[in-house]
Amino acid sequence: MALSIGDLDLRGVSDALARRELSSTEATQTYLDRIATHDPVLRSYITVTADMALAQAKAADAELERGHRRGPLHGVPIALKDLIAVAGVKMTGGSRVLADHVPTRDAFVTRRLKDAGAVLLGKLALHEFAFGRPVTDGPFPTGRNPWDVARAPAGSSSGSAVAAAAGLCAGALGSDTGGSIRGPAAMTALVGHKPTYGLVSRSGVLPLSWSLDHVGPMTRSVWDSAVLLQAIAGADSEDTSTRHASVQDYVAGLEGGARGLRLGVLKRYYVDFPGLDDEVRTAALTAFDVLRREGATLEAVDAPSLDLALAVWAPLMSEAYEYHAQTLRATADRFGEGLRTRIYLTALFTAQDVQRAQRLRARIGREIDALLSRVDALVFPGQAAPALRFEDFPSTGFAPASIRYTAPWNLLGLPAAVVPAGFSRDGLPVSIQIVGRRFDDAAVLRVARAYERVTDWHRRRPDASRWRP
Amino acid sequence: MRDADLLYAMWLAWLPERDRLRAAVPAPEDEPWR
Repeated sequence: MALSIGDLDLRGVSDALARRELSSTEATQTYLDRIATHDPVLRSYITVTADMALAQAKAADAELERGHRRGPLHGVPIALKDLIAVAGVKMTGGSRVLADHVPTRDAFVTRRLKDAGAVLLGKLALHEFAFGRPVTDGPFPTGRNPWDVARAPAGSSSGSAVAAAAGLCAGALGSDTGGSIRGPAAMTALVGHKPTYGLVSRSGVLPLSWSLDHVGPMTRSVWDSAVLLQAIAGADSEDTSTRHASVQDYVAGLEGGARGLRLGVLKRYYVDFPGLDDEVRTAALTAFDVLRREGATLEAVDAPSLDLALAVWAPLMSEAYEYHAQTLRATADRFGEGLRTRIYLTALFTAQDVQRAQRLRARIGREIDALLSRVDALVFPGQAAPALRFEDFPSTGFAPASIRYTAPWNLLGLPAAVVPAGFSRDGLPVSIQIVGRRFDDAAVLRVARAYERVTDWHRRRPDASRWRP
Repeated sequence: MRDADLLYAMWLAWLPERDRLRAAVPAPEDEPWR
């Protein structure tokens, strides 16, 4: 059987390995060849760990020869955002500040993925320290959208989105402080899952803002994300936020369907938002009808304090100043201009603003908890608009307006996933987003899968013949 | 743009949100540490 690995999702690669139609070494070499061919245009990788990947693949094949398969990630080639540590491999954070930094220990999630038998192809591009702007040149380009290389994939997990969407890995991990998994996933027709805060350890991951940072999967299908989440979820003594991590089986309930589920549509804040692109709105409303036809009950719901979410999110980003202040004082010129000034701004929030934000964060949380006591999950459009051209990115905002679709769920730490829900007339991906109860990531994935299995958006692939400079 | 100009532009963009934050009167139950 001739497999086109670049078109497969993670499950396709995993199944082919399990059936022995493909070896891990063959799969790994094919991805490395694809990276060599396409990444000079797409720029999704900062570091390609070819030798390490081939050695891991060979070991995975040897285990399979002996009849030992660790699980669905055994021998599957994946890649990591370049703020997740891999021992002995350069970790730049997408910044000249760390251009030569080589960690000596694996991040918790890296260890978990290695234990699951995954093969690590390399480290993926990102916006500088997960808070900079998209760039196409310089030492750390942030990646081009494979659906239209004149457009950015959004960020900050830009390389993770590009590599997974372009078939330059079978799946990727990103991180999300205000939408950095879900935004890029939405722009590239991927499933992007920000897990519940405290479900996945951040030890060995460069921080941006401790109380908002999450690590999670970016993949071509819901099953793929469920399998990656299963591998990386769980308590870690080196990240106290995971002290009460409650791990579910994320695959077992995936095919539970939508029948009987109660879904709340955040209509006023999201669907009726004047800044929402008409095509995204139409696609989302169509997707909600699909879920209704699949047996879910949908009702419009509201949380008035969501209007405060961005005013609350911004002062909490002063955690980023605390992390970067010393380096910024010593070597400000090594930071990119966009990031440097954003961090300066986080130094200007007052203590009163930060404490006020914490109090109002609790209020938003109470309102959303009340909604989630009546419905099983919340649904709304996954983004404000399709992918922007590089030159259209605003240069002066603290955060893009589109962040209203993602940042509130970082504040509350609730599980949130985007799933592909169509394409614009220009052929650009659009998505819906699903938010669930704390530590009920399985319900979010179930709703996403209930939609995915009766649609075919996730099976579409970008046209590689258009990947030209 | 110079850093100071960029920072000033970002500060201006932040001000409406800051006003919104400061205008929101916290209630006693708006205390995450309770």
